[in-house]
Amino acid sequence: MSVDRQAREASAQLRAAVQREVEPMTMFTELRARRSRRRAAATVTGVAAVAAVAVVLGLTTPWREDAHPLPAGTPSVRTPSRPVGDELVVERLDNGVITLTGLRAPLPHTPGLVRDITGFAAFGFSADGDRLAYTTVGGVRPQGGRADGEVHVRDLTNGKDQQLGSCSFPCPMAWTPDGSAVLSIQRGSVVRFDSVTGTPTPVATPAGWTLTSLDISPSGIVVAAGRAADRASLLTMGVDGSHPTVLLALGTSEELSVARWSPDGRSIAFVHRTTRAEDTTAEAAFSVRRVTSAGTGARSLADVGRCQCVGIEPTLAWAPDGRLAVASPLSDTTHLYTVGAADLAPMDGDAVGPIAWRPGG
Amino acid sequence: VNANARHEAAAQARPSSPFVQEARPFEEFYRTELAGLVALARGLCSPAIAEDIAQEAMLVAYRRWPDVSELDHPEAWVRRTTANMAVSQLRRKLAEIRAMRRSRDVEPVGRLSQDHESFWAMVRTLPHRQAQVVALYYLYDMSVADVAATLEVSEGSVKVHLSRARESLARRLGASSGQEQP
Repeated sequence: MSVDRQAREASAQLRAAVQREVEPMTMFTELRARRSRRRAAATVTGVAAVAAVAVVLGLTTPWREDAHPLPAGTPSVRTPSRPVGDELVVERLDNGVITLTGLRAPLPHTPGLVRDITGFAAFGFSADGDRLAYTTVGGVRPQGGRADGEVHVRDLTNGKDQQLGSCSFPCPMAWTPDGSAVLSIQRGSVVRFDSVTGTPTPVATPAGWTLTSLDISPSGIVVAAGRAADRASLLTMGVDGSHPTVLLALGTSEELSVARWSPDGRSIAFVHRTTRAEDTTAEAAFSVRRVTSAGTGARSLADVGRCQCVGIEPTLAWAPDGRLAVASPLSDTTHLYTVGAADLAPMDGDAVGPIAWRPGG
Repeated sequence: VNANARHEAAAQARPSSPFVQEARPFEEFYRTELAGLVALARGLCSPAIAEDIAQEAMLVAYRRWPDVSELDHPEAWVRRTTANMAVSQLRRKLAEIRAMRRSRDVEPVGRLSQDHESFWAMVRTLPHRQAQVVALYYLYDMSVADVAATLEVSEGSVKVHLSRARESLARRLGASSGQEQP
């Protein structure tokens, strides 16, 4: 056997062994403690002690190593600021009525909601772009909690609207790839509604899962943002609830929302909040992040603002051509941006709620 | 101008934008890179202190994150730092002292078969640069160009070190030094 082959086998075994045994969460806590200990030691000791500590740390850590940047990589590429073919549809307030409209042209036969309803909770288009599924969310009840919302499908070719059933706050929705059903949440459980008859079919999820957003990949895998064992998580399963998997689990004090598949089904974008959604005691920082479909390679695409708030969060929608639109309500006007490989580009227009791409004809 | 000042300047230049492009969160970087760094350190120094070496490299990155995160390839920076720390005699000694002082028993990370343990033991006896090149090339499945960029040396230098390392290992293992085609 050649050295090359032995080296590859030894490397594979070492990588696998380390992957099994290393616990990043535990070690990160230890890292923070180590840093705190060293800071404290440097602060409380006298001048002589500080000098001694500095000498020791100077020997043990490569403070003096320069962080030389590597040769520049591929320059960042700005994505086009206007969609071509596919239309970004946003929620608008028009003369006291909340409607949905395309950024370039009005949506035909659009539903309108009077202002005393909270607005559209979520909406999305069938693969052919001819049918719109949308959910509304009920207002806050005097006795606490929220009234049930509604799940609708509207045929945009003739304006025919049908209520499929009810949903519970925050009333996420997702079309199945073949357009035969719409998934939503009813009293904490996932329900699959037949998109023609409205017949509901419960979808079992593991105990301890709480879902706040739903999306389905072209191959029929559901991704949900929410919580599993109280940890902010990205969760996947089949449309029938099969193969439930915790794809990504972060801390208990964080929040993930608005998980969306990329059009090729290889990546998932989502919104990350540094505090729990219900936490009003601290300022939350929001960012748009991305992971592979295997839950690896997590990285931040853009920071989208901060607030000390409940119920206000950025939203996003992935266009069929691969552009990712982000709407941030964390300023006076909700701005629309597209996220490219490493940059943001402003889009014309703004929105006041959820956004979705309508596939071009 | 430090990274924080650059961020502030960028934010002031776009006052109407709610978006402020900030550095990648360190915690996320840590989760992604840690296992690879431990494996790298494990290949280059004693198993008992591999975790400690990787943690020390991450601690440096943590302290300097505003600057490190601005690099085109922060992962290359922390890999290079780990590789340098893992072959430094003084840092190894200090890591061993820290490991011995810990109250809890520390299990060496990454138990391997006898053959593979012997292989990495041989790698650790190579000249430092050869060992670093072998570890980066095989553990990260890197190209020669990527190893060169990580260590900030020329590709020619990497090829020479890799070739000499293979010859040296082949002599001791009684194997051929050639590279197998996938």
